[in-house]
Amino acid sequence: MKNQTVKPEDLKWRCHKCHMNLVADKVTVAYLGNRFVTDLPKCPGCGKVYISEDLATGKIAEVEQLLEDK
Amino acid sequence: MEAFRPYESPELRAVTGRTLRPGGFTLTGRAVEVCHLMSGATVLDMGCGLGATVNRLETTHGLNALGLDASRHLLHDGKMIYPSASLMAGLAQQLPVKEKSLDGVFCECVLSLLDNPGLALSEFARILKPEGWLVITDLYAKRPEGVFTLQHLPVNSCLKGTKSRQEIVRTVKENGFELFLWEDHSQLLKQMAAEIVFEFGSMHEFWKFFAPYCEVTDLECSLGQVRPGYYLMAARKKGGLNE
Repeated sequence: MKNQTVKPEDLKWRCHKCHMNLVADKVTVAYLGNRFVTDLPKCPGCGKVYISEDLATGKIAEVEQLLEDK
Repeated sequence: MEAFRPYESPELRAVTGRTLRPGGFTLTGRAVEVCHLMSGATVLDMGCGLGATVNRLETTHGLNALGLDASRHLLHDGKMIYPSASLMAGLAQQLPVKEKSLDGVFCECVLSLLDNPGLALSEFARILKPEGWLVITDLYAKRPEGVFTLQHLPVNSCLKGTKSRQEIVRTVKENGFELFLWEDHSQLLKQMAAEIVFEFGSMHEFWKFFAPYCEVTDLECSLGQVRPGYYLMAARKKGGLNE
């Protein structure tokens, strides 16, 4: 049932600074006092996280609406 | 064919953990603190599910806890996870417990599942010592005008029994209790909803799974009218001369 937050195409991105491919890893997302742990594409070097447009306008937008009580 | 009970599903457990409710043990701990339940006090966890709260009450708070649940599936799994916990099959409307024998009853995210919450509450009053504590956490309708529609949807879950704060408090008082505390903890429900979105992809996908016999748009519309919240209530059984 788990809906994959990290798609295979997300892992084709490379970190420009570290020259490393992104990997799926546990990330803590914090918003308005709430914290969630989910898998997201992340640079194993510097730890920067990639959020795709799909994710931003999909799940994350819905979570923001829920938490803001809209 | 057995009716689908979403609270028995591994998919919901993946979101909530073993407590099967919003907030995990947050409100359990708050209740023990508010009620000043001391080590050695004897309590019932009604709707104990897997027994996570029974285990918590015993190991973290030093209480003597008994768990009762109507779900043989959850009890079966619970006995494997917590083999030393006292977990039994039982119905809230007919408790296999002696009268005036317990210091507290916990009923977390369960009352709204019951067909006859008034009968369950009268049973809780029966088994509690005078001035014994009743702890309830559950959904409530912030907008009561939407409750009628929600009650008539084919949903086999706590949503169906969601009532207004006024009605919940009235029913508790009518069955032998005095209200001590009501706290809104809707933030825990929102947190759980957000976790559901990460797990299922969207609330719409979740509702398709959670309420398979229901048109999702009808359910979403009804929930929009009701504006569900989550509460903690502590009440005391009327004791002594008031009985």
